[in-house]
Amino acid sequence: MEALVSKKPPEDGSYSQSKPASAQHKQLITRNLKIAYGQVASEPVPQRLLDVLSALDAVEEKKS
Amino acid sequence: MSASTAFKSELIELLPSLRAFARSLAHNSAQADDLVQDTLVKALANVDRFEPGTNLRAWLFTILRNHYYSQLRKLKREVEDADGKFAARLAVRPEQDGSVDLEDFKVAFQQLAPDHREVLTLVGASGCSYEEAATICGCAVGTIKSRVNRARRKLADLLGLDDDGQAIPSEGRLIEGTASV
Repeated sequence: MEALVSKKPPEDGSYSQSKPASAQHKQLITRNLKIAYGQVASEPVPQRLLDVLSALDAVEEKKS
Repeated sequence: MSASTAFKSELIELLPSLRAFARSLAHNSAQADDLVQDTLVKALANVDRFEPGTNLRAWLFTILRNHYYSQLRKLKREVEDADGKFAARLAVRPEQDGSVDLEDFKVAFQQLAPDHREVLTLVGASGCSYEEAATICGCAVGTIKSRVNRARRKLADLLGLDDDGQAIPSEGRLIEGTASV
C-alpha cells in the first residue's frame, strides 16, 4: 500500500519545521485514523444488520 | 413519516459509523458486526428509552461500547494477549522511506488499549466532540482529553515516529498482517 505520509511538506506552505512535534504526530495519526475509519464506513452494510432493523417494521405492523 | 420509520432511517444512516466504531474496538470485522448487531437488538428493545430529538449517535455508541466492555469482561481470558500473538506481528521494517503505511498504522492501533482505541476513534475519526465522547465513555471531558493525548503518544511510540512525525526505520517496527480499525 502506498505510503500515506510523505516527507515532503504540503505545497500550500501549511507545514513548517518549527511546528511542534506533537502537532505533527497528531496530524499524522488523525489522517490515518480518518482514512481507516472512512474505509469501514464506506463498506456496504451487511444484510444481516439491515434484517435486524426490519424488526422495527414488524413492531409497527403489530401496532397498526 | 411515522416515528418508527424516522427512527429506522436514522439508524440506517448511522450504521456505517457504528460499524467503524465497532471495528476500532473489535479485533476483526465479523466480531465488529456481531457487536453492531447486538447493539441494534438492544437499541430496538429499549427504543422507548430513547428520547426523540436527542443524540441518537451517542446513544448507540454508548450501547455498543457498554456491550463491548461487558463482553470483554466475560471473555477476558480469550482476548488477553497472553501468548503474545500481537507482539509476534512485530518484525523488521523493510521500508526505509520514513513513512507510515496504513496497514502498519492499523496494526499499531490494535496494540493500544481499548480505552485508547475508542477515544482516538471517537475524537480523531468519527467527528465526536470531546463533550460527546465524554458522554459516550461516561467520564469527564478532561479525562477524554488526557486519554487522547496519552493514546496519541503511545501510538506514535508504537509507530516509531520521530520528532518530525516520520517513522524511524532503525526502530525495526513493522508489522505483518493487518488489523481492523
